[in-house]
This record gives sequence, structure tokens and C-alpha cells, in this order.
Amino acid sequence: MSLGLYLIKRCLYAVPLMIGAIVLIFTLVRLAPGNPVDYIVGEMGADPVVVARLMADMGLDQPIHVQLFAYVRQILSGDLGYSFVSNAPVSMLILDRLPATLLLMVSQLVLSVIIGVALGVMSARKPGASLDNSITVFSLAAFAIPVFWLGQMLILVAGYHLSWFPMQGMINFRARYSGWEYALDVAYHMVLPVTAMTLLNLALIQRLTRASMIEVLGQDYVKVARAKGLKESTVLIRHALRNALLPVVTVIGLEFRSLIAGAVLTETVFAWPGLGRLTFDAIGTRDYPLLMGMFLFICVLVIIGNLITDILYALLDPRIRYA
Amino acid sequence: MLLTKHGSLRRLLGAGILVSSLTLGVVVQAQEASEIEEGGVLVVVLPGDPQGLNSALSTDTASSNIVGQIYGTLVRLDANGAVLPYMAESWDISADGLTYTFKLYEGIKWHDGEAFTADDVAWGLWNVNKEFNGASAGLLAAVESIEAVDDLTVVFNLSYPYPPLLAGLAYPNSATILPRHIYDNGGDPRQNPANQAPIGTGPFKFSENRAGSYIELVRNEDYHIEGRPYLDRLIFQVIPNEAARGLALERGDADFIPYYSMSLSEYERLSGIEGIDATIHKRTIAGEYMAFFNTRNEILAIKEVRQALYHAVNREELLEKAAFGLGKVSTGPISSAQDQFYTDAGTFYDFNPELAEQLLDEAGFPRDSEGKRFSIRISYDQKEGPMNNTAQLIRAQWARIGVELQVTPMESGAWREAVYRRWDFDIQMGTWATGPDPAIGVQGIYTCETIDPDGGRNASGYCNEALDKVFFAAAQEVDHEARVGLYAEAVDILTADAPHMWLWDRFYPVAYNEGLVGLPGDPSAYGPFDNVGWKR
Amino acid sequence: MMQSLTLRMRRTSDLWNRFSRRNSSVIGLLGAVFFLAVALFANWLAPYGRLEMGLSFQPPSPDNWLGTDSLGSDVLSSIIYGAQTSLLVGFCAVATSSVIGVVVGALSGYYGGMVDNVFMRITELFQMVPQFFLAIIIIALFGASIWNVIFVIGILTWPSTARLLRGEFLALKQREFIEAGRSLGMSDFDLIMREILPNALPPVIVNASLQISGAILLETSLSFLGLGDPNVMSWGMMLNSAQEYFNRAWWMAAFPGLAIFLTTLGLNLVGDGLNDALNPRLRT
Repeated sequence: MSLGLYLIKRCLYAVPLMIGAIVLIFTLVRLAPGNPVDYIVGEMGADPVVVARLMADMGLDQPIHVQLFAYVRQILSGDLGYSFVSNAPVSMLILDRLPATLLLMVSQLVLSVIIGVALGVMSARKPGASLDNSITVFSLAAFAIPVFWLGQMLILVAGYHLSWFPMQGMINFRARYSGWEYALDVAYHMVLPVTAMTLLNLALIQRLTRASMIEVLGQDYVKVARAKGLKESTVLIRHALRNALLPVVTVIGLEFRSLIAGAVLTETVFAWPGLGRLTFDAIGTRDYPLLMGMFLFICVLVIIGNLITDILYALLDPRIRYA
Repeated sequence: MLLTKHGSLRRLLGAGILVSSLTLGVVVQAQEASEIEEGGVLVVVLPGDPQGLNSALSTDTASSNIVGQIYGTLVRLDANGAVLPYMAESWDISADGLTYTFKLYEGIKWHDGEAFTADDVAWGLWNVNKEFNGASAGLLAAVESIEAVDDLTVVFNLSYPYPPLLAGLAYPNSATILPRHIYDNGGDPRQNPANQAPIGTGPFKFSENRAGSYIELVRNEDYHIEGRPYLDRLIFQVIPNEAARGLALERGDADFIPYYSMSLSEYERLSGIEGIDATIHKRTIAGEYMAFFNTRNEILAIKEVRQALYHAVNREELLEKAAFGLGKVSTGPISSAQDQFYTDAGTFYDFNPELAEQLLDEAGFPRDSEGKRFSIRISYDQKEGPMNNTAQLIRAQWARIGVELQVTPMESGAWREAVYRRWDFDIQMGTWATGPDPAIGVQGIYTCETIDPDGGRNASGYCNEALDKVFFAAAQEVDHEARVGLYAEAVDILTADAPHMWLWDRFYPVAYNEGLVGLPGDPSAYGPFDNVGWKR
Repeated sequence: MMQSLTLRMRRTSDLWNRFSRRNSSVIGLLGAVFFLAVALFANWLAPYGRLEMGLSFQPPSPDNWLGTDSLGSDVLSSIIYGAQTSLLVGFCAVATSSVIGVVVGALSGYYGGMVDNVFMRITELFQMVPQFFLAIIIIALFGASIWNVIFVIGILTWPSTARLLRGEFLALKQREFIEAGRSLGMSDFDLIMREILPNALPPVIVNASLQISGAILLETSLSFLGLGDPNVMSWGMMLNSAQEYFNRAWWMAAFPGLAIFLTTLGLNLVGDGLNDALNPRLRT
């Protein structure tokens, strides 16, 4: 089976999961106490007639299963609805915030893979040596630090006391930068949040790389490569690392969900204008369409993350057959 | 004409100051005009993204503040709450109070170049604001019809006199005027694309909205008031972290922290910093933090229990630790910010745990073997700043008299539903406006008829016919002194029965760069910033 | 067969030897025991009572070793009481998730076919759904009592247990002693409970030990976002309120975070050690 067919099959496989997710979240949200109309009406209260009409407009007076079918139909036609609160289309709200989150996530993922793999290879070369031990202690510690606390400490020290980096937000809007200056300014604001998230993830990657490198280095073909007199760096990178990366890639794919969770916490601490904060605000205002749109969107992101993992897996290991 | 204009309003607000403050305001502005620089940028701090950019639809304060720069209203308020012309040049109120006729300024243009007419006013208020906005529906409840007589004349016909209408038309959260040529397209106004890129008549035009980050407005060159606004750009920046808001002002990254973004804990520090002015705004609608007892609860139905609990609250400590001293311990249901009606008479509940214990013993709730009398819940909207700390403090204070308090913060929507619709709470608290007039702010939370799950605000379920009589008499009384007397009587009855614990009268602190001038005085009616500018 | 577990038990000293091969595991165990002791004896250890409040924002001093918070509560006492919450959530949530995981995994692995198919689709659904988001949503919608938090963490984290156990069951049910039991007329229930489960448990125990720190961290994250139970002291909530005062009370943020860090680290080290000791083949 070709890679393309395999991927199509994986996509189709995701459909029932998506429907399950839709039903799950819909039921949860509707069973919960609270009513969006009360929020919209506000503190002053309102005429019962107005309240009833608002309910009817939103379809909230229909039985739950009718609302569910209406919602599924709407989603299938590609419409995530309008936010109850800001009246903006849900897809627009999400897409507005997506770049900020992606920027943060991709940067930290690239950095933590590069640094984590490098540290992993370094410690796998001589397991038990002092370099290995200190790297292991470092990553065990980094692994146990809650990302939001790390963020707070970075803000406190590097932002507040030392004034090295901006503490909050993504850009200096007052300066009205454009072009390169703008990019640099965003990068400057990214330093602290990316540091916090990278530290957390590189620990995981370092440990995985180390374990699978040690295993691979004991394999016959590596011994053969060494015996052939290849340079140590060639053996490590060309022969061993390529195979050692497979489990690392798998785990990153599986951990995609927690990457997003980490993003919510980090975005909250650093006031980063991304999806995480959007979700949190939507919960506070009981914005049903936005919450559900976000949830579905993140499910799709997770599926895409898994597909990317599959592709990477295929690229790294041509032996895999798609049966 | 001035007499008819304000005749009925005066009856309610007891205001002889209206006319004088109107002239005074003009003089002050004229003096400052020569000292204000043309141009400049103003950065205003927002606590989070505003609900939306169409106040005809949403009512939160932050959106009103922003929308009030982009859209216009018929009239505006000065710092003392007096009504000034804005898009309406003048108005006339018929002697019976049933007909309001507004004359609009000539030559006002929408930001897209279309002419603004009386038709916009009549159509928008009737078809959008009244239909989709709870506050608007309340304001326009007495209005039977709105007619555009000609391009510059609009008439409101009322079914009964409603004096608060005029001042109410100054509030962007209920009386924003929308462009008919954009909203009258047969579609749902809530889904109109203009809600994301509004086109108004105000001093600033919408430029960009970077969600979660900032909203940028730019000067409207065709603004109908000559020489205004001063500023070139107006930026509303989102800073969710409270401490970071103060730091932004301190470091010059932001210029103005309005009361709805102000971190109470930062106020004292900011007021000591050179180059920053930190002051407390007076708000005519006078907020008061209070806790409602649910009198349907069989324990809280007993008056002595409510009095005991009230005596066991150390309100000085609440004010100090939860509000950082920004308030005044309340004496009753009318805030001390309402000079004309406030009275400190009535029963005052000082902090007296011994008396509280004695009252509880006598009411039949002795301590059990573990020292506990009973357990009750307190609920509140978790987004209401000082309430988290207040709840924790009361929990600790009541633990000392053997009452266990379970703290249940709720998400805004769930809280409203539990409190107003299902009455599922023991004690609930938050901030309520007791102004601008007790007939509007106070009466509605205590009378029997407002015990109604469909929009009634008397959540505590307290019903006292004697009190109702006093309130109704006061609302219809024409003589101001007589009204003051009637409300003092109501205060007497209420403080004796204690269906609520009135915690503290709320102050509204703001902080801004001292180079700024012309910020509107009353933060509840954040009108246009067209007079705001930087000192030369 | 029961005897295989008893055999393992008899080899306790063997187990300890393998566990203590790494110093880090022992240090981790000491840390975890310390944390446990603090939680159990909180009422005696804490210098101040739960609802005692003094002056706000006092920096660390002999009276308040770790300072006081915005309400005047002693930070050290709060951390000590917070340990109880973390412990309760950690153990109860993992117990919940283990029970669900064991039931689903056992039934799936034992019966196979339709049962397996249905259960595994549900498991996959839960594995795909963004856990943390779902937790936020459920807590925000249904309220933040500590039992809700425990329940939510429990129902979101069972899939890994279920999959592990299913795998073990698939492997074990082919063995001869199961066939023997079946031919002796043992019921399915007896076979599952008495024959297969005891043999399949070790990896589940390791997994559970690692899940405890995960559950504690999840609770902390939720209460950091303001979704904790306000009636109990929690480290996450302390960090949440510290956020607003970072420029005036660094101690409010520094110490609770340190407590989370050390506890998580200790529990992870113990989990690693257990992993090595109980089932070397699952080593990562």
C-alpha cells in the first residue's frame, strides 16, 4: 500500500473518533448548569419576553438531540457558528489566534528536539559517566518543574528584577514596528515563554533519545559500522541516531495533546494572545459555540499531529510497510 | 426651555447643579484647549478581550468604553452626571414627560462617508438595541415609538413618564447609535461583519483588532466637533495580569488604567510614583458590595441568625485585605456615594463575635461537640475581583463563631442562573449599583414583586409589605425632602431585618500618566475621549 | 495463579535490592515518604491553623519562615496543608483511573471480539481527546469541588492502564494454566479475578505509581487556572494568587512551586525505580 493510501485510511479512521468527540463535548456542555442567555442579558436582568426570544433564536428551547443534529449538520457544512459573546464567527476567532500559538509551539518543539536529541546522544555515548549523570539529573529536574511556575520564576527574575526581557505579551504595539524590526520584536517577546516550554519538553526528549541510543548502539550493525573503521561521528549520527529517533518521534506524536495543554498554561502566564487564553476566556463566559469549536479544532490538530508523526516515521524508517 | 428640558429630571436627581455644571464644563474645556497638544498616542489598559465591538449588542464596561469612541450617542454626561449635547444639538421634553424631541447636529458623517440622519437613530435603537440588548430593553421600556420626523429631528413617544431616559441615552452600553445603511440588510445584526470592523460617527475610527493583544483606533478627521479629537491614535491594550498592568503604566508602556482594569493592590504603590496620577473616581451609579441571604433557607429565614452572622463579619478587615482600603464600610442599602439620599441612620452591625455567638445560642444553634453550629454555602461570580479573598476572609471569621462556610465561586453564567433563576444558594455576593437614584438601584432588589425567576432581581426572597409601601411612595413622591425621608424609613426597616449584609461602598480608582488631560470624570459613562490629549 | 504473585512478594528483599541499585530511587523514596509524612501529620506540623490570618505580605521572618500571603495566611502552613490536598488527589484519582482501567482492560483482553472492539474505540476516543482541555471544561462547567477534580482526573487518565492490562490479558489468556482452569469448570469471573489479574498486575502498579505525580501536577495546573476547590488549600491555587503580586511578594510564588517541584521529582524517581525493579522489560 502506498503512503498516500495509508494516510487516507488513517484520516477515515479518525472520522468516528471525531464524531465521538463531538457527541461527548456537546452532551457535557449542555448538561452543565448555566445558561448563555443570562450572560448576554447582563446584571440588570431583562424582560422575560426578550429572554424567551433570545433562547429561541439560539435554538436553546429545542430538545437536546435536535440541537445536536443541527450542530453536526452545521459542522459538516464547514460552519462552526458564531460566538454567543462577541458575535464573531468562531472560525475567525480561532484562526486569529492560531498563528500566535503555532509560533510558540513550533519554536519550542524545534528547539527542544534539537537540544534534547543532542543531549541524549551525548549522554548515551558513555552511559554512567559524569557527563551522562549530570545531564540526567538536569533533565529529571526539568521534567518535574511545573511549566507555569517556571514561567512565573522567569518573569520574576529575568523580566522584573533584571529587566532583560519583556514579561507579557507578544509585541510592542506602541512602537509600530514593521518588517524585520517587527520579527525581532516578536522574537524578543518569545524568549521567556519559549524557554519555559523548551525546558519542559527537552527533558522528555533527552531521556527517550538516551534510552533508545543505548539500545541501538548495542546492535550488530553499529558494531559492524565501527569495525569498518567509520568515524565515530558518522557512526553515531548516520547509523545509530536515525534508528534511535523512531521511538522519539512516536512519543512526540502521542504527547501532542500535552504540548497543547502546556501552551494553555504558558499562554496564561505570559499573556500570550493565542488559543490557550482564548479557550480559557470562552469558559469564563460560557460561550458554547466557541468552546465547542475550539475543542473540535484541537481534536483536528491532534489528528494532524499524529499524521505528521506517521509521515516522519515513514521517512525515517523505509522498512515500514503499510498493511 | 431649560426648565422643560430638565424639569422632570430635576425631580428625580434633585439637581440644581445641572445648569451651572453645564456652563462650568464648557469653561474648563475652553481653558485647557490652548494647552493641549495636537496629536499623540494614548494607550489604555484592558483586562481581557472585550466581548465585542458593538455595544448595541453587548453590555460589558470594557466594550462600552471602546465602542464609545467609535460610535456616538445622542447626548453625553459631564463629570457630575449632567446631560450635555453630543450628536443631538438640543432637545425638548413635553410638559407631561411623554414626548422627547431631539434636534441633531447638521453634517455628521459615518466613518464610511454616508450622512448620519435621524432615521439611523430611530431604526437602530428600535430594531437592534431594544431587540438584542437587555439594558437597552429596560431603558426603552417606556418608549412606544421612535420617529424620524425629518433628517435632523427624532421624536421619542413614551407611554408613561420615565425621567431617567435622557441620561440613559448617554450610555454607550444601551444607547449606541448604529448605521442603518449597514445594519438594515435583512440579516441578523448579531452576525453583521461590521461588528468586527465597526463604522461609527465617533471621534475615532476603527483601525485594527489583534485579538488577545490590542485594538487600535485612529483619529476621525471628519468628526463633527471642530478641532477634536486631539489624539492621533488610541490603543486599547490587553494585559491580563494585574501586577503587570501597574508595571506597564510605571514603565511608560501604557498611559491610562481605567477602573475596570485597575488592580486594587497596585493603587497605593502607583499613587506614590512620580509622573503618575492615581485618583478615585466618583461613579454616579454608586456600586456597593453586598451579600444576599437566601431567606428561603430555613436557618437564614431567622432574623436573629442573619443579624448574628452580620455581626461576625469584620468588614474593616475585608475592606483592608480584599479591597486594599479602596472603599468605605457600608452602613446600609444606599451607598454613601449618593449624597442626596445617603443616611448613616438605621441599625449598624459592628464587628462583635461575642454578641454573634450569644444571638446564635439564643436562636437555637448551639455549638456541637466539635464546636460547630451549622454549615452554609457562599457563592459568587469568580470574575468579580475581590470576592475570592472576601469569601476566604469571611470563612475564617465565621469559623471563630462555629459557623462553617463553604466557598463556591462560580462562572458568571452559572452564578446568574443559580442565583436569579433557581434561587439555589445560601448566601451570594457581588457588587450592585444602588444609584443613580434609589428608585432605580435600590428598590428593585428588595420589593416583593421582584421575586421572580424571570428577570427579577430580589434573589434573597425577602418580602415585607410595609417596606414595599415606603418604596412605592418614594418613587412617586415629587418633593425631594419627602423622598429623602421615605428612603431613610426604608433604610431603617431593611437594616433592622438584615436580608443582606452590606459590606462596603465601592471606590473606583484609576491611574494615568500625569501628562494627560481631559479624561472623562464619570467612569460609568466612559464617553468619547475627544477632549483627551497630552499637555504641551 | 495466586502463587506467582506470592512468589514475587516473597522476593521482597530481591525487589528492594533491585530498587535500591540506583541512589536516585532511594533519594526519591525518601522525598516521597517525607511528603507523605508532612501530609499525614499536617495538623501537628503546621505552625499556624488553617484559618488563622495575620498581617498581609510579610516577607520571610522568624515568625513566618516563608512569609505571609495577601490575606495574611502563613505560606509555610499553607504549603503543609496543601500537601494533604495533593496527596488526596494523587491517590484517589489514580485509584479511580486504575479501577476503570482495570475493568475495561480486563474485559477487553479476556473476551476479545465485539467487547474488545467497543472498549478499544472508546479508549482511543479518550486517548485522542485533549485531556487537559476536557478537564478544564468539565471543572468549569460542573464546579470545582475536590471530588469533581478527582473524578475528572480519574476518568481522563484510565486509557493507559486499560491498554497495558489488555495487552497482558491477551498474552496470559493463551497460557496452559488458563486452559486448565477452564476445563475444570471455573467461571469467567473466577478466571479473571483469581488466575489472570494477579499475574497481570505488576506493570499496572508501575504505571499507577507514575500516574500519581501526573495527577498531582494536573490538579495543580487546574487550580493554577483558578479551577481548584476554594475550600481546601492547594499549591496550584497559591501560585494562582501569587501571580497578581509578583512584584511585591516573590515568596508567594517561589515556595509553593518548589514544593510541587520536589514532590513531583521524588515521585518520579520512585516510579522509575519501581519500573526497574518490577518489570525490567518495560524500561524506557
